[in-house]
Amino acid sequence: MRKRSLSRFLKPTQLNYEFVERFLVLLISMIFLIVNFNYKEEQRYLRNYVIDFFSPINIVFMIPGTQINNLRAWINNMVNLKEINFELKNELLEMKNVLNEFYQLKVENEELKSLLNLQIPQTTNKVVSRIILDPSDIHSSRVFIDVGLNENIQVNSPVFNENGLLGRVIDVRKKSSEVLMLIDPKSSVPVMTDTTKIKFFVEGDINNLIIKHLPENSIIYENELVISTDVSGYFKQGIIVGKVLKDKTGKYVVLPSAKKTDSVYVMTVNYEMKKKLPLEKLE
Amino acid sequence: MIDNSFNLRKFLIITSPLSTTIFFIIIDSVPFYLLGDFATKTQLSFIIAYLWICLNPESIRPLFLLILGLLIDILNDFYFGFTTFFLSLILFIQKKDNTLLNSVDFKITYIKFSVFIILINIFSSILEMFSEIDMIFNTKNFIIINLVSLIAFPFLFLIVRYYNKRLKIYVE
Repeated sequence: MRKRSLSRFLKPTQLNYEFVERFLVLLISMIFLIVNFNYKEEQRYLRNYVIDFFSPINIVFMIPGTQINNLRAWINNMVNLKEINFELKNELLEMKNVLNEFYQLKVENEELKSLLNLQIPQTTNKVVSRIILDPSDIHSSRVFIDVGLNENIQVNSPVFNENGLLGRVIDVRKKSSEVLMLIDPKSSVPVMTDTTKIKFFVEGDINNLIIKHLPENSIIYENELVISTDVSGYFKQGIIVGKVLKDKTGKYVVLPSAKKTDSVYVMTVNYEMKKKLPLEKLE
Repeated sequence: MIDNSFNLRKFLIITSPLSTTIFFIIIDSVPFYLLGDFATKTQLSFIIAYLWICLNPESIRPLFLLILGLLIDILNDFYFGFTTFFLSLILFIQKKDNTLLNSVDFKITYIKFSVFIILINIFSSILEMFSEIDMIFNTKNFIIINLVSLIAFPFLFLIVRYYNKRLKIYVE
């Protein structure tokens, strides 16, 4: 009886072929799962390669979402037309004052430069891009943008929107780049407070930014603005990161001012970095 | 007389297990951000593949399951093989007994799915913990992801059941 059932099992029927296929697929998936732990970099390379290849498809699928967002913004503008107009008028007046101040500073700056015989600093080109893929989960926060080597984007280029810094590029392909968001636990960015000029690092914890390597005896104030610095020449200076706040435990944290949900459109810059960061140091 | 003319409707219905899964894989990964500041991870592609296997284990070939599973893993930042492993397990279970995960009573199907999806997410977190020593586990996000999956399940169930009925008519 046992022999008969074994022979039935091995009989090359359609059912058995299907069973073998099922079994092989399960085996392959198990091998993949086990191998993953030893070949993380290869896995990441393959993932980014596939994402780069499929990026045009994602752009097409984003069209309805973008249109809905535009429509929502348009309706919002129409409903709050008077309020927005009043706010914009006020903002315009403020900006005019700021602009006047900037003109004076520009003239002063150029005079000082010529006095000191300084060379013109490297130019920075802003590149507008879109978030095309968001694989963020409960453990990490990463996105992919639709610009890459074709637009001269480099590893460590900052990615930001109108509210401030979102993250930095950690991998570049031809048509896409991987961005490590500020709130990702692996992210660490050099920053300084805007008024007291205290330098420290911020690390992500999915919700806020934890303050690290704060110099001893230094005092930071609540609601103080935090901006990025080019410490050691690895990062772009002067981009708004967030505000200093106290969390529930009374510990100082930095609340990021920009969120990926603000808009799918983001900006990045290509510029000559003072130093290039080795790839292995990014992780 | 054999009719060789191309029937688009028939083609769409027959390829619906693959096309719906691919569609939801892309929906999962494309950022829409339609709900203002609220953005959460969705597992629609995984649910749709689960439903196809539960309702009709013959609908997706294991080889396609491997390809779809890998695509889900790549675009959702899972470990390679994670999705395929669980989908293959479901396929084995359903091939053995079609009523194990799928019941005539929707409530039972729903409860079984709820247990399954929560276990999957716990397993995913454990895997992540083994891999990343300094991993931060966000309980709030974990609950939200599971809730979103549980809310989406009945709607996806209706979609799959509709296409499955049509598919059976064409196949028969």
